[in-house]
Amino acid sequence: MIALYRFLLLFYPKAFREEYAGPMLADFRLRWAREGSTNLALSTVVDTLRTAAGCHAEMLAQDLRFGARTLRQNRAFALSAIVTLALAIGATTAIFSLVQAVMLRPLPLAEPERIVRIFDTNQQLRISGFASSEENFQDWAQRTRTFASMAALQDQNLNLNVGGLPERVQGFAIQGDFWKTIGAQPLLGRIFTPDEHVLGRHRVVLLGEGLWRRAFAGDPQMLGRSLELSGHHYTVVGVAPAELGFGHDIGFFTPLPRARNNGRGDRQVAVLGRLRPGVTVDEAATELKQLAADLAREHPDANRGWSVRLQNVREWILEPAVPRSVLVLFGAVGLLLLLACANVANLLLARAAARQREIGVRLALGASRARLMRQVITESLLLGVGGGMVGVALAFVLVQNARTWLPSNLVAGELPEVNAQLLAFAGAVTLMASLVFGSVPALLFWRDDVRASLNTSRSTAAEPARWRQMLAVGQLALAVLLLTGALLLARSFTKLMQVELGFRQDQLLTARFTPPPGRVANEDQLIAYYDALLREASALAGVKSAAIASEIPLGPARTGMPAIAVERASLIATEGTQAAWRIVTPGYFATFGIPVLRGGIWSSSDAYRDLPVLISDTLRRKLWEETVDPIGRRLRLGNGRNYLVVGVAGDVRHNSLTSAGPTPTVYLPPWFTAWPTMTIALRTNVAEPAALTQALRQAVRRVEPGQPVYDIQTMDAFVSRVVAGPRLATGLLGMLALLALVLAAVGVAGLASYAVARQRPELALRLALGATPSRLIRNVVGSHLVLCSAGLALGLAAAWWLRPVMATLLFEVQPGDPLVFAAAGTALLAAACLAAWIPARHVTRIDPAAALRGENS
Amino acid sequence: MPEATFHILVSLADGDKHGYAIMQDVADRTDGAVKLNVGTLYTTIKRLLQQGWLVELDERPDDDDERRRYYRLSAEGRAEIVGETQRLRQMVGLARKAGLA
Repeated sequence: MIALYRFLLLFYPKAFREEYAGPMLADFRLRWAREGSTNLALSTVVDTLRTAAGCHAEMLAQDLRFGARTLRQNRAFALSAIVTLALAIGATTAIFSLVQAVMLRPLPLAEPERIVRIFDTNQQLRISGFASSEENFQDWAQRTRTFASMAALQDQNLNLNVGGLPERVQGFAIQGDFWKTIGAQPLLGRIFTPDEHVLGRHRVVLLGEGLWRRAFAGDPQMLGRSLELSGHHYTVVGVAPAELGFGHDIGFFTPLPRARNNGRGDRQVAVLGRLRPGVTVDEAATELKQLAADLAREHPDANRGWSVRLQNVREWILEPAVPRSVLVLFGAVGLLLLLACANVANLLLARAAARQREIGVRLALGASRARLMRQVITESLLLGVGGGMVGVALAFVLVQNARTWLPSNLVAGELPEVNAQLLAFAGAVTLMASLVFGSVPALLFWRDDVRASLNTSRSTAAEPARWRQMLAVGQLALAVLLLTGALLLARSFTKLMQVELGFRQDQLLTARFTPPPGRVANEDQLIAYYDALLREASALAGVKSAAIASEIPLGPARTGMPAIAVERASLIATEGTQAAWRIVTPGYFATFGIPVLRGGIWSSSDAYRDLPVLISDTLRRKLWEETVDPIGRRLRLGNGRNYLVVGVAGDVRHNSLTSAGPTPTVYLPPWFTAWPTMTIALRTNVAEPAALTQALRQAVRRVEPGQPVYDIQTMDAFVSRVVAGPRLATGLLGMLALLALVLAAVGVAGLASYAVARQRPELALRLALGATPSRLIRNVVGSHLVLCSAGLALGLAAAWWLRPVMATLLFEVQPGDPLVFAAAGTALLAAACLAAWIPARHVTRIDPAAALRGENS
Repeated sequence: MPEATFHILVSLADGDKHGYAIMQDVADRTDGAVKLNVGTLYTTIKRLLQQGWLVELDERPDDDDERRRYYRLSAEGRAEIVGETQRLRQMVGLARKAGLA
């Protein structure tokens, strides 16, 4: 027991032990000898632990009080440290909330890592991700051995009439084992039965939870009721949960009836599959590729050349660029945090050098090294916690207002929020940062030779000076790295904004609508309906021209088909050009400002004779030789029909801003087919096209009462949203780089001022001997340039090494762009020179006589 | 005033003692109801020393164990324990008036 007590005594702080361990052990011995018992043993253990903890707590309180007082006495230092840390910790936390929202939020599905999206691919047509056909899906579902279940979905938009107000609702038509594949279940009611997938019996619907609550007040009596959707009556059989991870609120689910017979080549469904337990994605991909090959052999017309690609469902729901850019931002902000820590460590080191006398005296008076180190670390913790709290407040403000600075398409419908995980992260970051920058001066204390510091009139602190120089080099390197990244992104963004869109986006108002089935039952009705709409729209005040199209440029629809000159029609499967097709009215080109380069546009009177089309310039070049005049020639499309080319239009980027070139396009007349979702576009001559929203709505309703119009936006706003992601990344990284530059400059300034203070005697001597102040200033700045060059080289080397990372984010800019590197380097050198020059100017204030007398200042 | 402090001050009120003696004395006075543990004793003593309510003595009996530390109640400490006793007496008086004791 005595031995145990000796061990227990170790729990007390060293100072206390040195003072009292002797008598405590002696007294315990006596007591144990007199009345040793289990009771005593237990109560002693408890008592020791309790009082030892109390001692440590008291020491901590003392350290905190002492630290707080020291910081209060050095307000400038404390403030700059706290502000530096607050900015860095706040930024890090805010970006982490983005990481959380984008990547860490669990998908509310059972085992989402086992759900994959299956894309159709075609190497020859250079298609890497396309929809699949129902017939293929059914064969896969039947033949697969690696998937536990499969499902097919097709986008569906229906008009819902609720209490007289028509509303456009987005939902899915589903086929196969949808709920088993997704790993979710209806909230109420039941899922569809197999015979409800038969045409004629398919008018049943599962309401989405959001819609159910919003439009029907969450009434459970909805089950069994009949709803009118786009002119048909559907029976409600259940309610689907809102949380399906699809990002947007799904309004409803209906069965996709089998074999509506558009042919096996009609690829319009998205296929999902759930892997069998124990099966890897690679194994499933291998099997599915084999199945695709089998089907290509069995049905060559539809499937020759087509294969498949698998992708995890989470990556499908989010655009892949998003997690990448968020991660890069997170890395950048981490670098900033490191920089901030280096800055604060530098500040602490500077103060440590100034306090050497004080420390030396205390050590000589018997304070333990360990205790001093504790105090230094506590001081660092105080700074860290102070910075952390302000930083968290900053992050809180940023996150709560995320809606304003975060583009809506960046996160899968979930905005970043402040939650326990985020606060825990902030706390961890604060603690880590405090330990990082606090350990630097603490370690220095540990190694310092105390007596030497007491004996000299000026500090012989070569050790801290070298550490500070190393820190400064690190800071400069980090700043250059961030600067390079920011400049690259800025350049990429400029290039993005310079992309020739091919159309005019200004003063354009667009809106989507669904032609009511009753008005477009045949081609004559269709043309009449569009004509009526265009008449009403064009008559509005402020409207110069109007047009109707199946999709606006850069819009989400990916309608496309292979195209080939009719002379080579048999080769369409292997040598056809994948072209986007758009249904347009004749006014489309004028309204969107797309030039018609050759020939002309059809007119309504050409109605359904000869199936006239316009093609884009790029498509023309792909279909025929340059010397060939395409007007009057025919082309064959993937649906097996021939079309007459009546005109050539200028190139437009229909599909993506960042694709390699403009999209080859076929423009089809409205009687090509009745497309379910159309867009009406108005070219206005008013400054604010959005002002015409109400007028447009009314105009549409005049043609068809109760016709809903949605997604009303100006083309300017739409295009701006398309580039929102890159704009955000560029802006954020730019700010981080600027902050980094400032921090690094401050670091260099601190170093320079410290050097000047240290070298006062030498400088004074040289002044006395006739050197000019400007010469001395140049010397000081010059000596720091060596440092800066080292930091510069290190930073540029790091930026070079990280090229592959940046490459994924850049558009038409090389990650090793020499111009950018040169600009970053120059900016840094300039900033560093300035930062060194400002304190160097103090040389002019040195009074040689006073300095030589050894007076401090 | 914490209980341990009270007992230590009372114990020293009637004479200087070393640590173990204080422990014993307190146990005797309270008939074994209060038994100070070594940790509590010395951490309290340390605090009392810092507050100036106790002083440590340099003189000790010649044949005594070197490790023993002797303590004496200071004037301040005496004033504190007297004040505390007054306070406690007043509180007991109140309780008596309310018919509780």
